[in-house]
This record gives sequence, structure tokens and C-alpha cells, in this order.
Amino acid sequence: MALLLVIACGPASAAPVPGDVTVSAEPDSLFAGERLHYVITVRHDRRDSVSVASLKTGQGTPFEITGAKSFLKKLPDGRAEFRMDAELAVFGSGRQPLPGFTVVTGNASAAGPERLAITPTASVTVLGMSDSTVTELRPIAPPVSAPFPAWLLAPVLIALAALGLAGYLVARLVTALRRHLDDPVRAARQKLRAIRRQLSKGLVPADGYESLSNILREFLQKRYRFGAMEMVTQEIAEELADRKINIRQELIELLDRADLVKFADRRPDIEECRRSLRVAEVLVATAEVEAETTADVEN
Amino acid sequence: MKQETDIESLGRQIVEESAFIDRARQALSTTIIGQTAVIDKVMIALLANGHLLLEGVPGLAKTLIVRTFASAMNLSFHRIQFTPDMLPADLIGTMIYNPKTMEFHPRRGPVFANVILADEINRSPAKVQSALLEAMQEKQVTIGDVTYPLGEPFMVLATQNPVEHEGTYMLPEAQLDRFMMKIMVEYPTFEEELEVMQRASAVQAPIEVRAVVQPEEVFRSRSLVDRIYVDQRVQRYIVDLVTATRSPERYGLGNLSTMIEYGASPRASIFLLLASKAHAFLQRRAYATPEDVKSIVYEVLRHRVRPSYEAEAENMKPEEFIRSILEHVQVP
Repeated sequence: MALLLVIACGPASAAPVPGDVTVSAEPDSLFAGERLHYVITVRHDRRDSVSVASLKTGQGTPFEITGAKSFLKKLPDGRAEFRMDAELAVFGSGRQPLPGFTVVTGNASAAGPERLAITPTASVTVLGMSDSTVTELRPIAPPVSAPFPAWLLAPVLIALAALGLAGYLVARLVTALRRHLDDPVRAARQKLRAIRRQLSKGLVPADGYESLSNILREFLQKRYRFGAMEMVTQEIAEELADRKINIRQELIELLDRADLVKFADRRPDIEECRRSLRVAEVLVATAEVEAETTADVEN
Repeated sequence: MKQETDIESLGRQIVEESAFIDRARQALSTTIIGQTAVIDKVMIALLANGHLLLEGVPGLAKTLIVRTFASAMNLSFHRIQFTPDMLPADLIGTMIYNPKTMEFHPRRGPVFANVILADEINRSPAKVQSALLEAMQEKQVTIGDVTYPLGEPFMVLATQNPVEHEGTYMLPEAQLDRFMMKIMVEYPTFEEELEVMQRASAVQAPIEVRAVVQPEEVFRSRSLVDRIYVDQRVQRYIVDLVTATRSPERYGLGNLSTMIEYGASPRASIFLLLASKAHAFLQRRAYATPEDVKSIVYEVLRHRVRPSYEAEAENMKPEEFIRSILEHVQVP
């Protein structure tokens, strides 16, 4: 509870009188070592300069000043108000009268500054938690940090969610694009067409057959996921049969024919090579359909 | 499709000359039940002028296969049981003193035959093994001061028992390398064993296989085998497989580099090529394919790839390394 005390009486003059001086202290009850907020207000003529001196604190008193600030404010009635906010550490125990002070008023017309000694009649009650002779400052409790405003997280979370969604969509797009590019049927057909074009530009038919064999084996490896590149034709045929993959027999026959070119030094003519490449293209396209149909049936 | 004329005509010759194979198989089947894979490998070794190491537990008709094979091919046959007290002279022969003429004359040992079955070769000491392996390599032996050529064809089939190692002298790697192939003789199937039992229970003496092939046919076939076309791609594939046993990391098999103590020698590449050609001959083809290589790669490489201590600790066999290599080396 705030303590308000008005000191009355005094002659009417330009200098402040005790009635112009107001003292307040808060709180009115505290533990030894705690801080007391001590406010001195002096109303005075605007032409005067006012200060507070000789605040009775320190050695031999139960008060120790730990901070003070002064303010000057013009009042609407043509006067001014001087205010000093002081922070005092309080010691001892029991009722302690508020510390006295002197109001010093300077006026250009006067011979010298006028001094008005004030002794407040009010007091504060100090609850001694320790020996009353202790005069050391009690440690100040660390400031309590303000709780983090959770609402600030909301935009961050929204941004992260948006970023995640965008990343997911990009990943799906990339996967779809890669799947499209890595599609074994598409890749095999493209390569087969490229070989046909190269044949027109002078590729040796035997080399065309070698490429045909590699393309078909790569297609089988990627499409049905087994090591066709490391298998001979007979093993490929057996593997496909084991997996119940319904590949047309012509595909194996093409591989056999390519084997003859590669290993038996057979020399096909260009037309034969072209024909085989065309057949291979059709087989690759239909092989997938057949395989999917087989898988559907199995499922 | 045109074909190189040489290969075409060679193919026709092979079809004609390989007729003896069917006759031999037919004759062998009258005595031997199953074991067709072993018989084919013996045929390949004969055509490729190689020697074989047979490994299998006792009682799998190893001796019978070899004896019957020699009879069917009209080749002289000697079985030599290797023992710890054997001497090189017991194998190659020695000089005998004749008191009547007061002269030494040579007595040829059992190594003088077309087909030699060196039974349990790992039971004799190193000097005897060396004498036989030298004869295998040089195709001749020296008795006294005279060098005698061995019979032609000359093929050694050595057996090892994989379960008894006490009191044996394991063949060193350098000598193992001289065998073209190592064949694992497996147990017969249920039906095969049933038939073996029924035939063997007869009191009558087993039917003697008559000779159905003349050595000249083998010689002619050998010359055809020599002419079998092996494309550069197949040759490179062979070298790839053999190199992969030495430098597996080059073929994406880094995990094998610590598992293989050492890989196959260049002799393995030579034997793999020869055996592939002989296998192609058995298929009546005038050209070899990667399929031929794959058909005999285990037999040619398994005794040439030595597992490291780590691999042995994990009970890994050379066959597992070879399988892994076949799965990683691209077929041409």
C-alpha cells in the first residue's frame, strides 16, 4: 500500500514550503535487504531551481541508496514540479522512519539558496529475516525471463509445411520424370531406332546385331530385374521361364541370332539387320503388355 | 545370313567326326548309371589334352568311370594306388639288373599307359607326386639315361578323398595348377542309386565294355577342336573371368579381395579356352560361346582360387567366389 504524506504549514513565499513537499514510499512493509521505492515531489515556482540534498541514508541508518532519478515537470497552474525517484535498500527490523532530506531552492533574485529540512513522519515496517546488524545487500534474484510467445511459431510452421509440400511435389515430379526417362520400353525402342538410323549411315550390320543383343538384354534386365547382362541366352530363357514371364519366343530367337553373329562370325546383310531391329522393337513394346498381363493374372 | 566358309565346313566335319561321342556315351551307359556330367568332363579333358582331378567320397564309381571310359575308347589303362611308402620308381619304372646278360635294362612303370588313374594321389609323398606331375607336363619320363615318350593320348585322372586328411600330403598349388579341371563327383540320385544297386547285386560278373572308339578318332577330333573358332569377345570374356579372381575389385567385387588369397594363373585362361573349345565340340559346334565357358568355368577355376584365412573362417568355398564373379562379369 502506498504511503502518502503531506507535510503542512510554512510561510507563503516563492520558495517551497513544507506543504509543497510530498513524500511517498512503497511498499510499507518489506523484508530486510529488499528495495523501497521512495518518491519525493516538490512543487515550486517555475523560476526557481530545486534539488534534494542530504538524503539521510548510508552509514548509521537503516537505508542505503541504490539508485535515484530526478524529473522536472511544468504544471498547468504556472508552477513546476520536481520529483526524485529513489531506490533504497532497507535493513534492520521493526518500524523504521523514512529518511529525512533537505530541499534546496535556488532563486536568481535571492541572495543564496534556501534550504528546507524535511523529516517525514511516516515509516516502513522491516521484517528482519536475519540479524538486524546485517547491512550487506541481499543478492538480487535473477530476472524471470518472459515466456516465449508461441504464436510466433505459427508462421514458421506454416512456412515449413509449405516448403515440405513443395519439396514433396518436386520429388514426385522428378521421380515421374526419371521413371519416364528410365522406362525400359521407351529407352529400348529409342535405342533400336537409333541403330536403324545408324545402319543407313553405314553401320556394319554385324555391329548392329551386337547392339541389338545388348539393347534386348538391358531391356530384360531393367524390365524384369534380373542380371540379363551377365547371362547367356540359354540362361535368360530359363530365367524367364522360371519367373513365368510370358515373353514371345521370337525375342529369344533374336538373341540366338545375335549370338551367331557375335560368336560364329556370321555376317548378316543390312536388310536382315533392319528387319531384326523392327521385330525387336515390336517385341519390346508387346513384351511389357504381356508381362503386365501375366502379373495381373498372378495377383 | 552368310557365314564364314571355314566355320561352316568345320561345323560339318565336327558333326561327322563327333559321332564317336554318342557311341562312347552309349557304351558307358551300359556300365555306369548317371554321372553323365563327369563323363562329359572326362571327354572334354581327353579332347583338350588335359588332366583331371577327381574329388569325391569313396564308393561313387570314380575308378569304374575311368576304367570303363578307357575300355570304351580303346585306350590302355593303369590304376595306381598311391601310398605313403611309394617311390618314384614305383611309378615311372627303374633299371633292373639282369645277371644273365650282366646288364641293366629298363622296366617301365605303370605310368606307361594312355589313361592313368592316380588313386588317392595325396597319400604319397611329394617326390612321387612330382614325378607324376612332371610326366603329365613333359609327356615323357627318363629311366636311367634314356628318355621314353609316354603313350598318346596320355591322360591322368587323379583322385582325392575330401574327408580323410590324416597322413596325406596335400598337393601344392603349383601342382594343382597342372590339372586342367577339378571335378566334384557327387552322389547319384535316388533313382540312379536304385538302378546301381539292382545291377550290382547280380552274381554274374559285370558286362565288359567293348571298345567303340579308336584312338585315331580322338586324334582327328583333337585337330578339329584346335580349329574351333573363338571370337575375340569370348576370349576377352575368359580373361575377364580369370582376371576377376585376381583383381575382383576391378569388377565391382571389392568384398572378394580380402576373401581370395590368390587367384587363378594365366594357365587357367589357357585351359578355360581349350576346355571351352572341347565343350563346343561336344555340342557339335564349330565356334565357342560364353555358354561353353560358363559350362566348365567351375571345373577349371575351383582348384586355382585359394580362399583366404577369413574366407575359410566363414566356410566360404571357391565355388561361391566363382558364382559371384559370373554374376558380375558382363557376358559379351
